[in-house]
Formats: sequence, structure tokens, C-alpha cells
Amino acid sequence: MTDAADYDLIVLGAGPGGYVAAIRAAQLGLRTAVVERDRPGGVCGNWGCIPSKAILADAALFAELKGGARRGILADNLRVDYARVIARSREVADRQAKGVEFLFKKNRIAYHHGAGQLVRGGVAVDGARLGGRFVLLASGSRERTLPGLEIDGEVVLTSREALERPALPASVVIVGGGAVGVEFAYIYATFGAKVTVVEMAETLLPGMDADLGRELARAFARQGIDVLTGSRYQSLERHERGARVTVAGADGARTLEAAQVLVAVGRAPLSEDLGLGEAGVRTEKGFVVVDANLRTSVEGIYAIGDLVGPLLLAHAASAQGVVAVETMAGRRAEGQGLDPTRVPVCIYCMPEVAAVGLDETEARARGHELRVGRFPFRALGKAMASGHTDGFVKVVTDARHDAILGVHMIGAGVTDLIAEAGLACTLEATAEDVVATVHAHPTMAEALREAALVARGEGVNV
Amino acid sequence: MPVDVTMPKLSDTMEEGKILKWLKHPGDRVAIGEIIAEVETDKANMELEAYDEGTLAEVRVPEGESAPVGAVIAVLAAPGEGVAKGPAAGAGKAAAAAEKAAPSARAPASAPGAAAAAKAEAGREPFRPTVVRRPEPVESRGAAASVKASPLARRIAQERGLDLAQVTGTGPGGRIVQKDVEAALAERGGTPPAPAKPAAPAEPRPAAESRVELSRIRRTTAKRMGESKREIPHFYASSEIAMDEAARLKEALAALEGEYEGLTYTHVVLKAVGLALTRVPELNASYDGDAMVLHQAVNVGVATAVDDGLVVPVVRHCDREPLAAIVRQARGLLGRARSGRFASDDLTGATFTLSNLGMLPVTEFAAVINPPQAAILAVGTIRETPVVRDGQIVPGRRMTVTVSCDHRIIDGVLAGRFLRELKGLLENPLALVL
Repeated sequence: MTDAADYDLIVLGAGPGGYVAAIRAAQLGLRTAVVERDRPGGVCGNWGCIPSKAILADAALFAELKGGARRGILADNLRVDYARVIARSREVADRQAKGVEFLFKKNRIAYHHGAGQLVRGGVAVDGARLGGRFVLLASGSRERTLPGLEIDGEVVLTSREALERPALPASVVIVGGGAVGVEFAYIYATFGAKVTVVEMAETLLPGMDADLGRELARAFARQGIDVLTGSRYQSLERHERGARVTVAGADGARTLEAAQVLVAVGRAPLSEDLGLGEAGVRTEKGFVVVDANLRTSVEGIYAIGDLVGPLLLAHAASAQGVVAVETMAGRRAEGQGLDPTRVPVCIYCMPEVAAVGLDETEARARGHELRVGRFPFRALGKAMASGHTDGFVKVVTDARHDAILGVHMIGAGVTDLIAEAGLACTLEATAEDVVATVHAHPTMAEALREAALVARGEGVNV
Repeated sequence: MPVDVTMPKLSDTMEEGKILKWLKHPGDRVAIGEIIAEVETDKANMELEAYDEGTLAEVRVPEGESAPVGAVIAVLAAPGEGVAKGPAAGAGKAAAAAEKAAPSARAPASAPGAAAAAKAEAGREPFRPTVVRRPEPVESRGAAASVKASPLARRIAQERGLDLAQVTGTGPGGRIVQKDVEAALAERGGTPPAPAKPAAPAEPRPAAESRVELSRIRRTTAKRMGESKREIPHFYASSEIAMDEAARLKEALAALEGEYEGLTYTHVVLKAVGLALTRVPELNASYDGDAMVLHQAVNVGVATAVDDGLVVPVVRHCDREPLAAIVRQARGLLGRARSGRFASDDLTGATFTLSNLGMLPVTEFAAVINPPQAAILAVGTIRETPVVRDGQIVPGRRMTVTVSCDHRIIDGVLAGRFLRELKGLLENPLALVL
């Protein structure tokens, strides 16, 4: 790209995509720089995955203690100091950011703080020019909102503001029943707020296996959370005590009163300020267009993560970052990109939700003849003992070859259990292989094996 | 003394190679075993290793051009030898300097800045792209167990009778994954294998003297049947089978309806053939030059007339699938055959073929083998005929079957044994449903 390349690779963005890519590049001997306008860690480390998991863990602890009486664990005067919950979450995020900075130093990666923009032969950072042979765009995404839902940080918030706001609202309407919406629904409801979730699709968690959303709605109902599916946000009217939200459903419009409205309607790529147009990088609806190896339409420029969609997951961005860098270094064969059916999706409310591979509807649409095995946690000894009997594991296999097409889980701890299913998919294990794997007893992980047995018509404990 | 670097023979059939990329440039030091160029052959992209050490003095074939096997493509100057051109002209000094800078400090993109950068960052291993190897398929046979393959890839290969040793893996560490097996299967038999007997007369009949263009299916049939009869030394063996018991069983099962609804003699014979093939596995095989490939899966193709010719949909695992499952499979295949919408693997992977003309007044016939299978069974109609039982002439039901075999791997006695098993199974058909 240039005669005076300062670096082999310049990474724009230090989120989970960018920082992992930079470290992989450094390992492969590329002289690497990272440009970040906020601070290392990206949305994941600062305003997403990590701080929200800190709050969710506190909510789960609170829920366990509240429910302790029926198990003989008595606590009086149990209260929550929500400001402290938020403060701890920020401490965790700060540590995470420092951790990434340390990794840059350790791997001798140059770190430039500032807004980076593509220029000929490299990247401009606040006026200074860095020459690079390759550029990796990893600028991520930001929260979307809807017309009429202007974010004010007081009454109308996105997850970004909610993660910092130390006051617990008395009532919340959450627009959007996807991952972010249901996680905050669980947090607020557990800490005592009156919560209503409004989702346009017919089930919570659209895009995932419909059984998961239905089961989650049942669990939420038991937790006192109102779930309005098939309902569309229409308008919002602010007043001194909060806002009045009008929602249209199958049975007409209704109004909801709430002290706070959380907008959780997805994320939009941060592609405007990168100089993509001038550089000739092709985009579609704001997302950068890439090939399987993450190359953009301009030679030498690659893009990953939320910026390219459609997965918008931290671990997908990291995996793509590795593909992109290895392609630059000639270590990755053509077309050997990230297979989206091998990327797990996890949601951390209680019960947790996790999935990898095709859901039942997708698998049918692809012409597979299916076998479906479902195993409820309530039939599992460990689940009964630990008091977490909500949910199930569902295994979808191809009837002809016993291939595992998808695994869908809802229940306590399933975000960790899904790793085994992911490994099985990556190794192309058959359901028979999962059955042949001895699972320790008693564990929640037994549910995967049991579901595989059911899929093969050999169920033992159901 | 300068050494000539010649275009090596990188595959059995390679006649020339194209230089895709020079990874070394005049003046670069080359160590034994280092990759100096990427070469495209008739089979794959390969890497060209240096067999001598020295300094690359001259490149004779530029990138993008081809050279025949044996032609000089570059010249290597021995260590310490002067190099006519290139930046490192200083003999021994150049070698020493190059050694210090670690092997191949130049990136192939060869930005002038890169070399300087590497020097500036001395002590740190410079950026050096390596080439992903795309090895040729391993030529060894029968080594399936030692092949690295995923469980799913193994299962599909076994079912479809594919030798994994013939498949190139693209997974981690060259592991064979589902995608690779599917690609190999697509390469092996993209077109449906053609059946082995003349088509039922198509309606309406063409007028005399008119020229009717052959359908795509018919063309394939014509080509494959011609090849089969030209190349495969066929022999034929027939047997007459008493079908009285099988007929009673079929009627009794059909009366049950449910999963046996639509049960036909073809289904009964399929099951019997499946079991007979497990007892005489040599007929469930393929001839492959110097080997006989015995298939583990017993997948029987059923020659089926469709509008534009013949197709052979495959009923899988006729040996271990219960009769009801065979009925279900066959019914599904027939439905898809009638609608002309087969699933991608409905027509591939057969290890044996069944051709039944019993619904027409055909007492017996001999079929043409469907390569690469080794045998095909032709089934005639079931006829009422006087038979002698206990010294009495009584009415009986008889069916004549004829097996055609590839004599290169199957001898007459094997064909006889297969017919003995088949006859036994059909005459005492309880084993077909047990």
C-alpha cells in the first residue's frame, strides 16, 4: 500500500474483534498497531457482555437468597444497594480494559488513542498518519433506537445508559425481547421493578428456536414479568413520573405506564466515520461487505465483527479477526472462514439460554429429515438437587446420518453447557458419539446426552 | 558452480507447471527445503522446494507462465559464489548478512519498506507468510482407519461406499470433514447412474423415420450401458424360486395396512437381496483396477421408469432396515421419482441394483451391470405353474431371477451361492420380517 509502511497491520477498534486480531497478528510476526477512540475492550468489555454479566450475577444471587426460605436458608431484611451493584459492574469493566492494555504491551502492539479514518496507504488518527500494509476495520456497533424513542438517559435509555444509571426504576417497559431486552427484564424484575417486555415477533428471542422463547416466556411469567409478544411499539408520551407507551397488539392498542423505558431493538454498525466511501469500501445498509476470508472490496482492507454483521457477537468477532489476520499472513486457505452454524449464542437471564447450529425450522427449511430429542431438566437429578428445574435441552439431528444439526438449551448454567455442543458440532460428532461419551453424574451436562438419546429413540430417563 | 532449478514432476500425470508466484527473488538466499515458488499443476497448487542451497541468481520463467517438466526455471548460485545480478552481489558477505537477518526477510508482496522494517526490528522474527499446503489425495488404499476424518464424514463415506483415502481433507490439520466427503461424492457421481435394461415403451410412440432427441437421462443411460457391456465381462446365472410362502406373507402384511401399506413384491425382494448380500458380500462390491472394493453399506438401487427414461433411486441399508422401513423409503423415492424432484442423494451410493419387470409378462431376462457395481439382479414375473409336491401335481407360484455378474471379480460359484441364499430367504420368508 505504501513505501513507508509503519506497520504491517493497523486495526481500527480495540473491542473483542480488534484486540484478539491484533494479538494473533503479533504472534504471526506482523508489526501491529491498534487505534481506539474510546478505550480497549470495546462494547463487550465496557458497555456490554462483561459489565452486564456482573449485574446479572448479582441479580441471580439476590434471587437465590430471596428464594432461600423454602430450602431452609433464612435471611431477614434482604435488600439491594443498586448503586453498589452498578459500581461493582463498572469496576469489573475497568479491570477488563486494563487487562487488554496489558496484553497490547505484552505483545508489543502499538496503541493509538483517537478516532481513526482510512486514508491512502493507511490510517489517519486525529491528523497524524500511520502507514500500514493491511488495515482491519473492527469499529463495532452502537445501540439502535426507534423514532419517538429519543434517548435522554433519564426516562428513555438504551443498555449503554442503563449500565451506568445507579437508580433502580419502580417500573420499566422494555421495547425488544431479544438478548439485551430479556437480560435487563430479569435484572430489573429480580431487584423489584414492575417489568413489561414488548416484542414484535410471536415469541421472545426471535431468530432462535421458537421453543426457547416460549419456555422463557413461561419462566418470566412465574417471575412476574409481563411479556407482550406480537406487539409493536407505537408511540411514547413523556410526563413528570416517566412515560406512557402505546403498544399495538393483535387485540388492539394499549398503553403502559412506566418510570423508565429501555430500548433494546438491536445494534447498528459504526461505519459512518471510517472514511469508507472515499476509500471505496463497499457497504450494504451500513454493514461492510466482505468475502469468506473477511476481505472488503478494497485490496488490503479487511473488516470483522458487528461492522460486517449479521452475527453481532463478541466471540464471532474474535473468531473472524483470527481468520482475517491469518488470511493476510497466508496461513488461511481460501474460503475457510467462520461457519455461522458453529457459533454459539448465549443469553444470561435466568433461566439462561444457549444455542449452536440450526434451529428446528431452519433445519427443516434446508430439507433435512429431522429427529428431535428434548430432555427437560426437571427429570435430571442434579437439577432437582440444586433447585434449578426450569428448561430443557433440545437436540436436532439429521435422520439419515445422525449428524447434530443444532442444540438448543434453556436452563441454569446452559451458557457453559453449550461449549460441549459446540465442540461436538465442530468435530462433526454424531448424536451416537455424544451418547457414547460418558457424562459425570450428577451434572447438568447429562441433559445433553439424554437429549441425544431421545433423538435416537433410546431415551432412558424420560 | 551454479545449479539449475528444473520444473519437477509433482504428480503422475503432470506434463507442465505454471509458476503462480516466486517466493524468492534474485539475490535472496535459499536454504535446502525452503519454498521458493508456488506451482500450479494439473491437480493442485503445490509448493516448490529448493533441493540445493545458495543464492537465487536468476529466474527464467516469470510468474504466470508455464514450463514443461524438466525445463530450467531458475538458476541457483552456490554459497560463496558471485551472483551476476540482484542486490546481494557481495559473495560470502552477502550470505553472512542474510543469515543474520533470518531466513527470507522479504515478504512476497515485496514492499521496499518491508525489508528495511525487518532490519529496524532486528531480533524479532519478521513477518513471513507461509503457504497453506493443499496436498494431493493420498494414493494408498484400504487405509481408511488411519485417515483423519470426522465421525460424520466417516459415516457418510461408509454409507455411500466412498473410500476416505481418496478424499482430500480441508478441516483442521487436513482432517476430512462432511464438506470434503460431499465434494468427493459429487465428483464421483453427479449424474444418476443409469439402469440396466430397456425402458418400458414410452407413450406416445414416435412416428416411423422421425428423429427423437435423447433426453439427458437417456443419453447418460446410452453412454453408461455401452461402456458397461464393452468393458465388463458379464456372465449370467438364473434360479427359479417358489414364491408361495412369500406371496402369503405379502398378502398378510399388506392386509395389516399401517406401515405395510403399499407393500409390493419389489419391497420383499429388496429385503431378501439385502440379507443375501450380507451373506455373500462379494456381490456387494466394485472392481477397481487392482482391487476389489467390498462395500459395508448395502444400498440397493431400483431401476425405475420415468417419463424421460430410467432412474435408479437408492434404498439404503436393505440389510439392516426392517421391511417396514424399506417400504417407507421406497415409497418416498417413488413419490419423488414421479414428481421428478429427487433429493440430492436419492440417486447416488448404490452398491447393487435390482431390476424388476415382474409387473409385465416377462418370464425372465438378463440385465446389464450398472458400473461401478459388480452385479445386478433381474426379476421376472411370478407365474402359476404345475409343480410336483409329494408325488402330486399341484398349482404353485414360481419366479425366475437372473443375476448378472462382473466376471473380473466374481466367479460362477459366488453367483450360485448368492442365488442359493436369495432363494432360501424368499422360500422361507419369515426371516424377512424377524
